[in-house]
Amino acid sequence: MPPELPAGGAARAFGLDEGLSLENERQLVERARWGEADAVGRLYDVYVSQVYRYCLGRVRNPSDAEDLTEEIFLKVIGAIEGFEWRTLGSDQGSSERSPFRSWVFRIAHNHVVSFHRRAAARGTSAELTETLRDDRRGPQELAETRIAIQEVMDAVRQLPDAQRDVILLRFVSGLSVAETADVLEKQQTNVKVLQHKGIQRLKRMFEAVEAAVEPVSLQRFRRR
Amino acid sequence: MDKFEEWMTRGEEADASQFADAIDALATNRPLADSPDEAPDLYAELQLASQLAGGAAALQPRAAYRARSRALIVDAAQPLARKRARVQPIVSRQSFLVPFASAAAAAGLTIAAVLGATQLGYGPGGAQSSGAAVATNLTQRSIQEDLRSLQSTLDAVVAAADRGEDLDPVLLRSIAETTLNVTALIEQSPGAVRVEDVISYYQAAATTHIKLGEIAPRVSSTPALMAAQRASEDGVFAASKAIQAIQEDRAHTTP
Repeated sequence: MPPELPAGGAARAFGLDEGLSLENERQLVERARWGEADAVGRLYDVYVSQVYRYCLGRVRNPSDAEDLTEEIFLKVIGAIEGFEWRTLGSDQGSSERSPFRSWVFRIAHNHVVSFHRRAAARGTSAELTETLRDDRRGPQELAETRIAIQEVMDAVRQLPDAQRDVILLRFVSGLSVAETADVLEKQQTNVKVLQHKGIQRLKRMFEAVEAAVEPVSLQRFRRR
Repeated sequence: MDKFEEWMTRGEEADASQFADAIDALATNRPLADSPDEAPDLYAELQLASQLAGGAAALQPRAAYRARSRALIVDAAQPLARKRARVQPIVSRQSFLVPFASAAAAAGLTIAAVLGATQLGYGPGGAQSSGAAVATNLTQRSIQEDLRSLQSTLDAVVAAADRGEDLDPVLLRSIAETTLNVTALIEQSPGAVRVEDVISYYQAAATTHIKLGEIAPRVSSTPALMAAQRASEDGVFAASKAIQAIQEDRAHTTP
């Protein structure tokens, strides 16, 4: 039986319906450069979850992810005066491309790299239980999701660095191909290849686990 | 492209492009070119990608963290607003802070003597309605409690630094939040704050800023330490503005 895709809301699943229109974002960024509290707060609201998820994907420990997220936003605010709005390279896809989001994630990416460089042994095994918040899910479903997401995120961390970065930016933080290419300073074609290889590798990893033990949590994940 | 994993064959590129196009189609609710029977591998990959994206969307920072961190980030942007508005403090921030270390107490006493002990009340005569008296008393008590809390927390932080321990971010954030609270009170409700309290706060904020500045080179910089330093600097700035306003008000109302 061929695999089925999640019914309805594929755009939501890929996170591409988050965020602002480019025009709204440009206005907010201009106001934020003047230190307008409302604009800064709104930009924070739009990006905090995306940045946090990226950090969590890189460090696993929720406390470290929170600290990193805060440090990244402080860096963003500290440097926002120097940010220049520029057009990103064209993308065959139809999703909007935000130069500001790329800039934020470039800061995030560099900051996380520095974090690992500074404290390579800092990674701990904190659980993700405190980070899952979704009132639309029942306790049973939430518990299953928790197990599944943790396993998947752990698997993502085991990917080669370039694949891992692309998978996190594309599917965990919801950036477009063009934005991801801009953040990682790669060509869009390379990003597409890396995201495909990353997903293929994840798929093989789960298939290998299934073949070995068929854990309940993975069965649940794959059925969802 | 000199990295092996970025090297690609034309076949890989075509498959990758097909996968990327399929994701774009899903993201925009367009139909896929192939059916599940025609391309089962592609559908399995899309299923995994969509499950990863959908599951990751449930990962959110804690609400309490988010609220506190948002306030910190918004506050961190305030220097931009001040810079753009070309607001000039009574003296420059640096020249105001640096000499303060040795003369904070004396300066506070001098300002108190010059201004007298009264409410800030910038308006003519600084008159307050009797209805504001209760709120004012509560405000005074609150500021004094905040200043005591600030002092004890600062002492704990300094002691930890002296022992060579890591600074507790909870204590540092407490310093930032307490300082921000008093600063906001002085800036937003000047009529409810006594001159003595502003002077006390001026001394406390400057002392905090100086001591944190002394600690900073000895410990690794953290967002919490930066926030506490910034909040204390803003506290000195706000208190200095309030004192300047009183001075100007006195100059205008004194015959």
